[in-house]
Amino acid sequence: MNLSRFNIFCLIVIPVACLFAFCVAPLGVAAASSFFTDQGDFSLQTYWKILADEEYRSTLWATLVISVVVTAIAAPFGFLIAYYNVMVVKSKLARRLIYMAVILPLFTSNIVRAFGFMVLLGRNGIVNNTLMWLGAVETPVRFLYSDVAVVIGLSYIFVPFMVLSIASALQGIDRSLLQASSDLGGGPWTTFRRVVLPLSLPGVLAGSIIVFTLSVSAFVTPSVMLGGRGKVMSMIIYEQYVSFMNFPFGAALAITLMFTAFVVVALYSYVFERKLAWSRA
Amino acid sequence: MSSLAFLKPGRIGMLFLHAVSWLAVTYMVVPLAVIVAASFNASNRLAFPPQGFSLKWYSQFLSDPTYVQSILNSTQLAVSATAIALVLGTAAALAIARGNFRGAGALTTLMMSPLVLPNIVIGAALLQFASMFGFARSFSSLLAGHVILVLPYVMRLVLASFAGFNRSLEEASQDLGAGPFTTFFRITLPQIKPGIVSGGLFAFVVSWVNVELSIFNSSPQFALLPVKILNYVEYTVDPLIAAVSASTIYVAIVIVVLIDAFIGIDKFANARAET
Amino acid sequence: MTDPILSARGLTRRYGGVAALDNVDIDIAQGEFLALLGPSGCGKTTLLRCIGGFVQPTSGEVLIEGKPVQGVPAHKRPVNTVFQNYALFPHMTVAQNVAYGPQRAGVAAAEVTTRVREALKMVGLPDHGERYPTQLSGGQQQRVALARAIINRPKVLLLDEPLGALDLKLRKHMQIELKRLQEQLGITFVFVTHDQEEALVMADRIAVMNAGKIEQIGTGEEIYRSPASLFVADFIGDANLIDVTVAGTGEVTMARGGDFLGRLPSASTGSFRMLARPEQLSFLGPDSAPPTLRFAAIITRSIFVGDALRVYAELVDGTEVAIKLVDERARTGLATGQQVSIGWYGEDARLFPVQR
Repeated sequence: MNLSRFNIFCLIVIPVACLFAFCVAPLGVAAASSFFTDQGDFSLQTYWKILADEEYRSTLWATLVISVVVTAIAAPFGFLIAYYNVMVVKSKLARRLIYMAVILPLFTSNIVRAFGFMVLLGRNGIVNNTLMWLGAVETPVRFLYSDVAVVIGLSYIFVPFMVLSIASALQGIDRSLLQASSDLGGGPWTTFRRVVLPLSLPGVLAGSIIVFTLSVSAFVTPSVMLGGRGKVMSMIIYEQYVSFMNFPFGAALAITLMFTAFVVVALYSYVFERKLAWSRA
Repeated sequence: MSSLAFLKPGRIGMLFLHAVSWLAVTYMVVPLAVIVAASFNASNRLAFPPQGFSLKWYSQFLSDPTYVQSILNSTQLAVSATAIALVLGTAAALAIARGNFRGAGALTTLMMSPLVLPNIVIGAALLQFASMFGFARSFSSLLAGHVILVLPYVMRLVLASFAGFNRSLEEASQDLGAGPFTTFFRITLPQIKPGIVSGGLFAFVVSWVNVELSIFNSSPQFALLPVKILNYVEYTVDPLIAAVSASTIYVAIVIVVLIDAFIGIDKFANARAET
Repeated sequence: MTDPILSARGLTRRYGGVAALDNVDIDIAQGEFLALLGPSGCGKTTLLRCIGGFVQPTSGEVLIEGKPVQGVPAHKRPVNTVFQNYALFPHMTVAQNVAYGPQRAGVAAAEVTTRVREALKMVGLPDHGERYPTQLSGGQQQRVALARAIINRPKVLLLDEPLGALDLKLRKHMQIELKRLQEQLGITFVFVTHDQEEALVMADRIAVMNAGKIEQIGTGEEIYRSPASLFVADFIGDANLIDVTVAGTGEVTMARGGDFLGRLPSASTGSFRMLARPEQLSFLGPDSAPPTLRFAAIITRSIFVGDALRVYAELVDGTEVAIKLVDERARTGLATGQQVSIGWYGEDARLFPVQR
């Protein structure tokens, strides 16, 4: 279809304007506010304050560590489901059912899923009741209100992202490559190790980046899983904005978080870059 | 995939793979199943095994005006945001897919950028920005945020729909004398309808269930159900909130089934994964 | 044939009610270049994949060096395949692709490097080891696929329409290259194609397949000159098929209309469809020698095809025949609508019985 320049302009002017007005501009304003003191002078003092404070540093560190662990758990879990659904399952119905089971959690709110874990892991929850019924423990184990609970909760929430990303990569593998590997003497395990796995890595990489980035800024699940006994960066940012109304400080915290996350992702991509040179060739 | 049969590892290995995989898949729905089970608990506490079966929690929250209002609010917000996003997103997708102009790539990146930004950051920045102009914590600021939130999802699905569609149909239409407007409505639109419908369904859900963006701009006057649930569970957990949560799960199930009916859940899964 | 390197016995593969392979028997000799030729859906690729181990037959067996390979998985069979789309591993360099087979067989690393170098040299790509497949042209990829297969010195090399994606000139070049390589290596090649010219150029023997069965196996010349069935006659080369009746006296007449054509004393009696190749027919002039069979015809059109003139003429019963005129001098004086006499010279008529 031939669209004239005028047509194109009409089509994109409002969407672009919206994005600028409600995304770019607010972010710009927020970011800018973090670089100015109350008196209106340009200064980085807010950032120094954050970096100098032991509490903020340790929260930032904890947030990053949690996110790395969550990514490390979600990846193989998601890989298993993706591999199984794309390469092993033959029945179309089963494949659709599995996709539905994976996508259904995505359509429920974070809070609902976190609540589900409260029910599962709480003092009176299924896990504890089963353990006590089995006689494995005598008093309920405290699963909730810890970093571990956050990791469990977040990895559950992000597995679907991994599954979709990896499934997409696996789907794109030319089936004749598997036959070629077999033809050349590669048994099932070798074919997996030397053909399927390497070719799925772009999907693993993309999925990991998505999961890590979402993890780092997750708010609902950590709030609920920690139950007040600890904080992650997103909770501190929320506090600054909503409780203290200290917008510039909140903005500075947000930028610090995004920047460190960006550095981690960039490093990770760089390391992977060499292994994935072939996909860029 | 029967051509892959020659790749089967040993029988025990395969059985193990099947078992572990299905366990993993089941785990994906366990937390949701647990909530549904808890919502029918007759007793007042969340205990397992559940004692008795009762629908009283459902009737209780459905007759509670604050809950009903928050459901309506969330729905109103989601519908509005989706409608706007559908129009803007389809327009932008049309321009990008058919426009052949130099900034197409940059424009796509711009439109998709909310996906890579943390929701809380967007929400916080909007709060800050809106308070400068006096519309903080209002329906408008919420709506603005939600449109930004769901627009990328609509665009991604509609763009994918464009990609799978033969351009020569449009060229034939124009060759036969129809202008761009007519061609779009009579030829293009019917072809991309599945993308629009699934984009709309997906946008609706993403907006409805959102918490991180909404908490910054919602107010007691305009309560949203997910935020309400969050506030509730910070204090206590009981079968009532389980019933509320379970209801959202039922709606999610309906939407997943609808999407499967419209474009097939496997196609949706693969289109979604592309950035 | 003594000790065929590859055999199929009663090989059948059904998909639902359809037989992709229908009771196929074949023996292939060591060092032979065999082409499996036929239209789409004839079963040639299915046969290839049964040999390779990617498809399990419904019944019947495949024997490699006399031993049945039922139940032997693809990665354990001493055969290698060159795939239609090459199937080069995109995440490995050319050298790594080629090294894949020997590595699976446990060959020592130093030896692998040497063999890879030799294999790449043999296919004419000595300096391309470090490139990735996506950086190569179609023809180069094809040669890498070949190197990757032959480095393993398989007993049989299976080639699934490997030249299909190449442009005409490159194809013709590769046909000769492949033939030369096969003779040099002495490996048995089983080559699937739908292009009869390709089969004629490259193969020692051709197996013409149709609807899951092998209609005929023979050298190119045998198949061309003595096709065993109408299908083969029609598939290979251009065929003029004329309906005739042969009487007990050896008299040959047009089946429709009864026009007298000539005498074939050695032919059996009955109704037949006769095969006349375009180069066996010629236009009769005042100086022509008396032909065995003479047909009255009217010229309908003539088409210049570069190295020859193809002239079409309609016989008295409406059948259109094609005559190939290569000789420049014979091309004069043939106008559309002109009445001509066409002569067939020969002793051995290919006659296919038909019901009338």
